[in-house]
Amino acid sequence: MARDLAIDLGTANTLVYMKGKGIVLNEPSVIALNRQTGEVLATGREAWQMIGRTPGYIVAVRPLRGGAITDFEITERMIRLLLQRVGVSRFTRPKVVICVPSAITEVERRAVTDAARRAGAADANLIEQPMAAAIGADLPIDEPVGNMVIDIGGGTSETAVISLGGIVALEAVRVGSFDIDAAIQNHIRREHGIAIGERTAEEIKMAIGSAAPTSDEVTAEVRGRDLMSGLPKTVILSPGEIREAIEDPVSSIVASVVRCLAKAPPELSQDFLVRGMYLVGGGGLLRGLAERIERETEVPVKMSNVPLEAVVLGAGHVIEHYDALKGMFMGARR
Amino acid sequence: MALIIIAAAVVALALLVVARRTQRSDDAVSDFRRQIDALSSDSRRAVTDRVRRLRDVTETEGTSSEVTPPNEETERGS
Ligand SMILES: Nc1ncnc2c1ncn2[C@@H]1O[C@H](COP(=O)(O)OP(=O)(O)OP(=O)(O)O)[C@@H](O)[C@H]1O
Ligand SMILES: [Mg+2]
Repeated sequence: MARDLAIDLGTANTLVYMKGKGIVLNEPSVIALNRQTGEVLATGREAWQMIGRTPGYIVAVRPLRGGAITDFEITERMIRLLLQRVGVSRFTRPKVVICVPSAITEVERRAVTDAARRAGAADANLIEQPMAAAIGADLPIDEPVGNMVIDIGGGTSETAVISLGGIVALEAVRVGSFDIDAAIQNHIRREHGIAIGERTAEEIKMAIGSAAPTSDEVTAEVRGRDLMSGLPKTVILSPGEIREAIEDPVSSIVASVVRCLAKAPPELSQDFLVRGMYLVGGGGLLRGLAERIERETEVPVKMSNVPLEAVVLGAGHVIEHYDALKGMFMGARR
Repeated sequence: MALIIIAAAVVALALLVVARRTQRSDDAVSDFRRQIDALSSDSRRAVTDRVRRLRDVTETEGTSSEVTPPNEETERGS
């Protein structure tokens, strides 16, 4: 018998939780392919290292980019490889719970569950990311109180109000931390005339990116290719200019949190003032973002102590208590 | 006579339907209870503890995702 699995198939990172064991895999959701033959050359961290550094015949892609399944075939291969790597074969047939963005379409849902079944899962079910995040972040969702969770990932930002084990209000946008990287890339191209890759943009975000002014601001040096001369060039970036450059995606994320608050029933709204909202997801680690949300909503924001793992842990808990919690799968509720 | 049999059959059917319905709602109640119990903080402790252990291990190994200053990367265009 195989051990049952919970998978957080994120646009940026994939995590796998094995029943009775814990997190057994945690790596970037990237796959490198031979452009001509379509063969998979690498996955995970190894493929991530290739992004922007491959010769013409290799392409390193994030198949779930944008919180949508852009390429079904590649996604299916990624799921298959993932299951193989954690020991699933035609003979083991584990049950699998997969977390997906709540905004994905019916067709995308089917694609994910079918892919998992074809890859050897005896049964594959989906659960919404914010629900899994709330379970994993250890919020008291078994009580009739308003629990608000904000999950800011690479490709999506989802805010949900959960009470008594069910979603009361939900707001999901296909804007995430990758859009912040893209805004940085565009800004540097436009204002400084140099081209940088997406990995460099992400490093700039982590090093000096912020959603609100902070006390420890330092400048950063970045090297890229001069668009005019084609030669390597260095520029100095200030936190203020990066903050301005990423204002668009940051404000869309904050606006979606505000919309979710507005959807919550008044009885539950009162609870947020006392309990606060919980921030999870890698995108939530952006400096000053929690303060910015707090300032614009006047509701306290608390950072989960497991921001990157909350979703897979929540799904892991569901796998541990499969029979009791199978009513929480997408499509199981009416 | 036939009328009595039909009446009896109708009554039996009605009783059956009512019984099924109460049983189903009892099931729903116990399913809901079971679900809520499985979501309690106590029941989740096993999973959260497992992470705490994982945390301790990675921290001693020093593999935390330290932010590196954005340098030494010259990408070949996009
Ligand atoms: N310290 C940090 N500051 C800013 N951004 C960060 C930080 N650490 C990680 N990120 C960003 O968080 C994102 C990854 O977060 P996460 O793993 O939660 O996404 P995901 O779950 O794969 O995506 P999604 O939930 O949208 O499918 C990346 O874009 C990464 O750049
Ligand atoms: Mg996520």
